Amino acid sequence: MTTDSMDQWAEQIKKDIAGSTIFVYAKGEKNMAACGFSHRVMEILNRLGVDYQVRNVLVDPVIRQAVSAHTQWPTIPQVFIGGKFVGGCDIVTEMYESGELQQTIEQAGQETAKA
Amino acid sequence: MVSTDEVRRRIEAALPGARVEVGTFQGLDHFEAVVEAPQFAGKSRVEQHQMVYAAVSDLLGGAMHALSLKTRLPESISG
Repeated sequence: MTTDSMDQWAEQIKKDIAGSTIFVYAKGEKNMAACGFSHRVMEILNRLGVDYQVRNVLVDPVIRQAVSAHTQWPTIPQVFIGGKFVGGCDIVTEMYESGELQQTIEQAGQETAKA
Repeated sequence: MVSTDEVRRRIEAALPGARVEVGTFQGLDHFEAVVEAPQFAGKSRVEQHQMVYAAVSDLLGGAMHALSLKTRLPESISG
């Protein structure tokens, strides 16, 4: 692994999370999770019927390192809403159950629409 | 292999005074923990989880495939 690819991914991550209201780093592709926790996060987003993008961290181990360096968060999945890191599977599940996730997504969507 | 006791001790050492329950699910490398700690006061949920992850960071990805977390403030502080 080179420092170069770490830097490149750090840049790409900034673009990823700025480029869509909801961005998920997961193990597996969208709707084809390779891990139960990534599956659960995508299932929740599907249930809400919201649009989201997924990057599969299994494609290159450096992606995972770069994401974890960005968030200081050791595990995958990681969910970003409106460019902000909101948490992993546990937090997203808790937020979904309390209704906070829906609110956060709506607010982020409105801000994107204004910008 | 790491035991639930070891994980509990690690978290308690990192967050003195915390109440910690640790179990496993889906096999012995998936851990779940409920942590109630006074140190969580004023911290966001992400920060609270980061504080617990820090206590076991060297195990994650190795003996520990996952650590599912629930964090909260002790009732004496949150109320």
